[in-house]
Amino acid sequence: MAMLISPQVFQVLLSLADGPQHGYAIVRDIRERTNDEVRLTASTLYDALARLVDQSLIQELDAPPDRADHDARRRYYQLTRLGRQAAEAEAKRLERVLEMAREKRLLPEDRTRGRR
Amino acid sequence: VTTPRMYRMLLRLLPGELRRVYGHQMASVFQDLSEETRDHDGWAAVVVLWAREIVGLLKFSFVLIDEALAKHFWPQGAVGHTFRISARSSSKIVGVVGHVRTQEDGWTGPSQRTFLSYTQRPRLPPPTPNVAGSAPAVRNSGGSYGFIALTVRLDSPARAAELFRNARAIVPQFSLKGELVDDEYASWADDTLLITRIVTGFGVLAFVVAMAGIYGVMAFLVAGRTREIGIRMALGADRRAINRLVLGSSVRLVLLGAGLGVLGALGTSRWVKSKLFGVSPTDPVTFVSVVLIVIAVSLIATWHPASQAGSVDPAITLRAE
Repeated sequence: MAMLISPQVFQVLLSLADGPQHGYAIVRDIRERTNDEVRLTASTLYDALARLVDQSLIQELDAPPDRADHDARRRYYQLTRLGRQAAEAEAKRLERVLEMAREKRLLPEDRTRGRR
Repeated sequence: VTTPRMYRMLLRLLPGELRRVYGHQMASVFQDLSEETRDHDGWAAVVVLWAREIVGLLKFSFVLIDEALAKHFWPQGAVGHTFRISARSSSKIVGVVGHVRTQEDGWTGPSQRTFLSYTQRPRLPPPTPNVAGSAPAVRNSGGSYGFIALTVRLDSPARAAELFRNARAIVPQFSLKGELVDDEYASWADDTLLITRIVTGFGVLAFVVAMAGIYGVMAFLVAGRTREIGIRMALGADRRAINRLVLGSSVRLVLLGAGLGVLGALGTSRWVKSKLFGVSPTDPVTFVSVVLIVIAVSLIATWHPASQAGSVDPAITLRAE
């Protein structure tokens, strides 16, 4: 794939996989999922968001979704079809990389293998 | 309370277009973040947050470009303009640096370059310490930017080893590779140098062939005019006059040829423009000196036939045929 998806950008795509989110929620979601390992600030978040919008991987929603925590200041972003495909492709690529790492015994044996 | 205003001042660091589109949202996200950080982790953490935000804004999208690119798009001055590098977000031009010629500068003209701070690139995962301790450092392959190049000026090449020892002690997790810039340039310029030598060789060969040709043609012409020369001498022309006659006809031919050659060279000069450095393809000094050399060489080539013509015995030539 010609497009390079950085770890941070991939985390943003992951956060949007469940549905539209606003900026602050994306930062919180990433921090919780990664146990504080990836901490975005406003600048790094919008660096990623601006790039993703440029690449048509995400889009800004015209109207915020109807939610209890609605706040007029907030803008919501959602994955486009292309964005979902890109995230899936990146996930598959990472899976293949992990598979290679397992074969080279850098990682413990695949625990899910028995269930497959 | 002062957060929004201070933040808006900070946002001036951003390229204008990005600030217009995302500025408000960024301010709102940053305010939420700082409130949450203050409530959970205290004021010290807020200071850290500010520091990270400033670093983040600084490395957002600044770019240096080289003269070739600046001249191409912004002849009036490039600094301050914003532009996009591929599909990425806009970058603000903060400086113009000189153009460095490399092999990439092909027949199509100088290649145009942008320089980004390495901190603007997707962040590479931090190097993890070796578990075994003795395993060789793994080269970071987290992206296509897994290297840093440094140029160092040394008193003598012999000190390179010492430099490497020190560098290795400082960053043991990096794999270091060093080359002398002179060697690097020599290997870059290898092919070009060979081609230049071949072309020069052919040029010299062409000159020798041209000299032989002029000699042959003038000798032939003089031989054809032996009768005329004999008559002229019988009528009182001296050797010097005959010499002048032969040389003059030679110079006329050479000037005609040189004129055609100059026109041809001017017509084709734009094809070599990209291969020249520090000299214009229509450099007057080069053109004039080449024409002078050609004239001098042709005079030398004509000298022998001319002096032969002058030494003809009119009695013999008139009796010939």
